[in-house]
Amino acid sequence: MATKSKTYAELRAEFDTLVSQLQDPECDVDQAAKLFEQAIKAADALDKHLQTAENRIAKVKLDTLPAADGKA
Amino acid sequence: MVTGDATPLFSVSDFVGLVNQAMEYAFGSVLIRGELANFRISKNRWVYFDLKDESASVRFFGTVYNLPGPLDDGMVLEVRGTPRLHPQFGFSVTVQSMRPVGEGSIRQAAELLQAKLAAEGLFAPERKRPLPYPPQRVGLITSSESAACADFIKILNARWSGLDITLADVQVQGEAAPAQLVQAVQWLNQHAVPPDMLVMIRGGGSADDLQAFNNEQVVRAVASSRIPTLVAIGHEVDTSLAELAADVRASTPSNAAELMVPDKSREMMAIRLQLDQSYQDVIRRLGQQRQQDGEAVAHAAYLVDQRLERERREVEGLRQLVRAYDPFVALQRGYAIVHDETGRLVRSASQLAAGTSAVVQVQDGRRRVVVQPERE
Repeated sequence: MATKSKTYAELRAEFDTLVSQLQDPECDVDQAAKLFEQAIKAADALDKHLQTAENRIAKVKLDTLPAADGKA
Repeated sequence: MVTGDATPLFSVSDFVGLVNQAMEYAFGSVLIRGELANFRISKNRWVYFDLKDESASVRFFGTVYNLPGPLDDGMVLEVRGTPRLHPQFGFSVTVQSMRPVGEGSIRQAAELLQAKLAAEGLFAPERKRPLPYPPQRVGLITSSESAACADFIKILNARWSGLDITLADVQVQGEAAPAQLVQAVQWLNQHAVPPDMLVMIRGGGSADDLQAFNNEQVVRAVASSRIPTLVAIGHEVDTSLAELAADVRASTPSNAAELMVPDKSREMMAIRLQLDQSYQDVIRRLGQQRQQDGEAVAHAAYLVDQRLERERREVEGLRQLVRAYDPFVALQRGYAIVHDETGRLVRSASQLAAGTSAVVQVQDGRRRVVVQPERE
């Protein structure tokens, strides 16, 4: 089963978490090296998302508005 | 019933019914423009007023829900309604919708509504909420055919990716606009998966074109939206009450798109910069750790030195103690050590019988001696 691709907000949250872990003074150098590598991958994923994702527009005419719960 | 001269005769009720039927058949609804007079609201619900011109006056009846906002006598209104002959109160027009017309009346109506809603706190800065930045799901309320919508989408596409936009296609001017705008805000608010934010946009136009966004119901719908709102109506110089009630106002629809999302190339630049700063942090920490490691080694060496020095002193103390007990030190002071013929250390005179030999060791050497009997 195909996994749902992550949203920008989810990818950004991952990146921000890695950066904040990197900035933790308790983080030793070995751990920092691993986190930095992960942060680079997260930044690449963000870049790819922004380059490839498209804005999706669903138009709804007022006189044909479906019910708010999605039912017609 | 028909009278002798063929003129139909009606009961009063039948006549009223016939007139209403004839008017309904003839007009359906009518649109009348005139100056407002004798405006009053009864029991906070019913609205009575007249529209008049130089030579005539017509009575109207409606509810507060038909009002575009507070009104004052003297304003020029356009009212849509159905003419009706009431059995007791006579002729009036039942209001379906009404709006001020002419720049002066529109401005006056907006000023009255602004004062009323400001007094209720609808525009208060403390009510403003921040917009999600960037949003994931957007509810867009506008006319899909408008240039403003096209500009907005174009700028959004250039700046950002991956947005889910639900476009509620509404009329943004004319009689139907206020009701559709309110309906769109409410529908998006009640959606099973509500958007992160609502955007209401419209391009420039005359005061008359833009007045749906000064309608009391529309302004209240924007103010009461549970979803944060961004409203951009008209050109930079135009300010509608819907914009004042919104959480954020943009000067134009294009500006709304710019406020909503960052520019993706700048965003990526900021991310790379953050990454670079993190890299610098790691390098700096590595340097610090190396320095700390060096300091730790120096400290350990110092501790070892101290320990060695202490032990050296202890050894020296022991050495001096041992030296104090050294028998050869005593020999230097003139004492001697005597061993018998068998090499045993002589501790008692009884060990040395007369005629036997012994070895006497003094400071600088040893001599064999013969033991003489002790003289009396």
